[in-house]
Amino acid sequence: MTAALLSREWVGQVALLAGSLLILLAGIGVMRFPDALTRMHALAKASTAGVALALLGASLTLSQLDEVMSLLFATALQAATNPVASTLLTQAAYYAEGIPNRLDTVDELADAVGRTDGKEFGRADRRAASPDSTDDVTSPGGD
Amino acid sequence: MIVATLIALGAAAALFLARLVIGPTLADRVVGLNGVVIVGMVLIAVDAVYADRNAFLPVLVVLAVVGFVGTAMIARFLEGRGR
Repeated sequence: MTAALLSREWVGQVALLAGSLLILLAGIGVMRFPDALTRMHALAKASTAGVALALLGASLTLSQLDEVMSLLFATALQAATNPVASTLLTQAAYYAEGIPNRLDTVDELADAVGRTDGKEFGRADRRAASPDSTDDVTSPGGD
Repeated sequence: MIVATLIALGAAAALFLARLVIGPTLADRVVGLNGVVIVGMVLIAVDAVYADRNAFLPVLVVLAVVGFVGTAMIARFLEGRGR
């Protein structure tokens, strides 16, 4: 407040730059990761943090009430909906036919939905494997 | 400061657009499109900070809502169709 180096505009602009750098990191991850699921991972984490940081920094520099409230509302909305949307998209890509997902060590969702052997395509196998094993399919927790 | 911010956002937008173009599956293209929308949201915030213009701030809220609804719709669509 007193020093010019720690003024509100400076902190807000630094937070905006840091958020932009996090989004750049998300872009590098989306470009370089080898698989659809890992790309979603990179986009979801880094871009949620980056958007929250950038919009909170922008709301620090502004002073009118409507500007600050729309920025805070957009931040809250993005922080609430971006992980949900990413989870929906990841589950859809896991169940969709034709999208290879290489899960190297542990596949907990396969145990949860009753997919037994390590095939690469989800939904048709799950339909084919569901009649003989009817009731051991426990529904996954959330959704 | 604004130059570094715009360079970072421009590079991120280029990477997301490249993933949107060359993505092998539909899920990769959705990831790229979501990233482009996020870069647009932060660009609106940058415009509001550096140009003292608050006319585009409601667009930010609308983009947040529309991005979520669009991603959820494409997820439902992708679950039935695949690739």
